[in-house]
Amino acid sequence: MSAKDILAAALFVDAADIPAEAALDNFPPWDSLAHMRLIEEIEMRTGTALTTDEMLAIQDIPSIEALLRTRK
Amino acid sequence: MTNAYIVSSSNYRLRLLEPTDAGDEYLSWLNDPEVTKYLEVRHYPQTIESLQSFVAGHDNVNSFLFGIFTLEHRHVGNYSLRIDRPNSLGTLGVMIGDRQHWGRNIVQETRAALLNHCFDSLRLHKVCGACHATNLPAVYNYRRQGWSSEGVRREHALGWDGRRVDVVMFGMLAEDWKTRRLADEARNV
Repeated sequence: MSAKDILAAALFVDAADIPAEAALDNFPPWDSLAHMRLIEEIEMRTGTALTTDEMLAIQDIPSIEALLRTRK
Repeated sequence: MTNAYIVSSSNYRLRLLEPTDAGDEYLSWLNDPEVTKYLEVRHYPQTIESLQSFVAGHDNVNSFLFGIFTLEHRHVGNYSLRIDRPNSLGTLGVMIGDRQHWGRNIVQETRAALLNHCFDSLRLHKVCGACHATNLPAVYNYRRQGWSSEGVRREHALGWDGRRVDVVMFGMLAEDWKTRRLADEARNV
């Protein structure tokens, strides 16, 4: 599953509706509750808990992709 | 006499609290485990008397307690602000006690107005904040608003579930806030 698909699941939107440059400070569906769901979604799909530094690094699609690469 | 509002946003106003503001509703927030889940106040039982003493303990010179009020003058939360004058630093804490206002962007909106006050009126160089790393909405709010995460204090606090939790330190420089405001204004033109 791609970073965009995980983000779509957390934001309750279609992946096709998420622009490549979507970030937590420029994409309205990415609100605080969606951010909570995103962290939980990543932890559930990777089966690991995120460290505080990893959690703080999540801000856009590339940062989610980078995190997922560390879990492969 | 009630203090005048000194900070305003679109939907809320802030004024300094007085001991007479420490009523049953304010006390009820401190007895709500959801409200105090990530706050140190949960470790200490509160009474009206202790609450009044807490409010009166702010000297309004270097420590302030702002109440957040709706436009209908309903008290819904607080900000604490401690100032380190020699270093021109402020430290903010926030509690939204009335849960009906959760999820309404209240922290983003009111903290932006309070940051304006800190930098424009109080002439602070920097404002700091912190939250439990497990308080994901708070972490989001700081980052969404452009605060820099300046470090993680490992296992620095006892979490609501009895586990040790990291505390994330955030900072906002006056210059960074000014740049952000100008960018927001440019976007809205």
